[in-house]
Amino acid sequence: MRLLAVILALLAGGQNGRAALEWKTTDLQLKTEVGQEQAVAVFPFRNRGDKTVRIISVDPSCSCMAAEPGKEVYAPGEAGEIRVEVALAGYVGRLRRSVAVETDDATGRFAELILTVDIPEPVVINPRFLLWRVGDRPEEKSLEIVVAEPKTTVFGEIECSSPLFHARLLPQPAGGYRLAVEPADLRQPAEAIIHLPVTIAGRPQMRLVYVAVK
Amino acid sequence: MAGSAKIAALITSAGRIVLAAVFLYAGGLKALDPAGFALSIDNYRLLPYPAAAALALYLPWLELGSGLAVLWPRIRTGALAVLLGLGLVFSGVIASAWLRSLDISCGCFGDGAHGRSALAVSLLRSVFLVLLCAWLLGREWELHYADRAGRSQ
Amino acid sequence: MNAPDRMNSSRAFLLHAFRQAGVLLLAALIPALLAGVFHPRRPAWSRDQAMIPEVAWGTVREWPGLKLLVDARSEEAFQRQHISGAFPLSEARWEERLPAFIKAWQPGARVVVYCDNTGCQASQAVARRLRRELGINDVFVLKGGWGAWLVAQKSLP
Repeated sequence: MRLLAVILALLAGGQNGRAALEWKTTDLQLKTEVGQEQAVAVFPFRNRGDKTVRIISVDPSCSCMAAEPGKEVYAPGEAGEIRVEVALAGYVGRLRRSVAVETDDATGRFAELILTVDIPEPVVINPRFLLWRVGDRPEEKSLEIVVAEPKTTVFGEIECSSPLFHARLLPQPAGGYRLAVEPADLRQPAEAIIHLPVTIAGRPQMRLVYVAVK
Repeated sequence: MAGSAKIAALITSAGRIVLAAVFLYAGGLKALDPAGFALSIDNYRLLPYPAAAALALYLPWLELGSGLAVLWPRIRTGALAVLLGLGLVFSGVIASAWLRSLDISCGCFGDGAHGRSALAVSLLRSVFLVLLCAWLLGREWELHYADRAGRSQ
Repeated sequence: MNAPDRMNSSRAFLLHAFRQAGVLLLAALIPALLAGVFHPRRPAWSRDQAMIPEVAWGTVREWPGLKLLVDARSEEAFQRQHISGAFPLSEARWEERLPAFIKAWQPGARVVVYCDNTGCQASQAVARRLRRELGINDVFVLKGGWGAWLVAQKSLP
């Protein structure tokens, strides 16, 4: 459905005449703060045509978004806006989402509003999963923890949910950390979660790393 | 004497064909899916992603061109030098993954194997190709040297 | 040949090798540039946009060995209906759902992520995240998503 709306929006761009709804911008970029759970963006427009325009539908590209016009019908010259709310919890990095707006305007039925949200990642742990195979030698494995702001990021005492894994958090010269994990025994499958409590700009958070013998 | 020279020539030709076949196959597979190859290079975590993407577009064609050129006497030496260089770099990359205990799928033949044993196999394969290239380059050098010695007499 | 001649010969050989290598290195640029523009499977230039390979349901069905299906749609969509055996793992509930997926995953398993249809991006985002955060490389996106799977079920005898 969304794909169809976009294709129609692109085709509509090739039609004769200008669309009645003039958007201030159809491409917005937002920066959010650490821990922010929701972002709100507003796309203002004005009806520059000589006929009333009715907004038929507003279709966000994901269920993480809610988008609404202020009202349905806009008289010539009238201004309006589409308000878009994006739920951020669980997402990381750069989010690129869109909203397809369908109107009854013959010269510009569809518009695509693009919203890019940059969710800061003050602590990046890649990968978050260390794996050993049953029967391998129990050697230490490690992963890197990159910290964006070392001065305001403090790790607490790490905890492993299983005594079968020994974990150490080692500060690195460049301001990041290395998490070194050594399994005690690789004869049986095992799993554990390593809890890394971290305070980022005064806000306590928890990061999890998964380790397993499979 | 003539017999052993003939055998040496046969083995050399066989070596060239094997090398060409390996790199034509490997390069061909990667050329079909540069997006997938970019992800494989990225898995080694040695380069920023855009560099991995650029290499993913370039390396397969270098392998294909050089693999084919091994069979063409006029440009064989250069092809062997390129493949030797590629082999050394790739061996270094796998060895680095080994040392960093990275658990990755090798980006050479798309076999998707995991674990250090898979890395070890990849390293052995790569070292074998490096040795084969070096030996064939040595043969080229002998031919070049013999040719020059013959001409200087 | 005496020693200086041998050295000259070596130098000539190296020069010869480098010149030819240079030709090959330059020649490879042309198809590479063309591939960068025209190849249907050309890579994205940012890791966040890297396209995870797609695979059709027919192919997934034929795969031997362990396959893990991941449903990247909303929790509501998953509860309504989902491919049997699929794990719910949407970005919105990532931390909550990840442990169950990790528990089920085994080395060598192929992971196939799906969302609604071809147009939705959630499956690519989840697949990229599995690749990035868990280091799992055998991750694919189901071509056509849930919609294509439904159609495939209807055409089964």
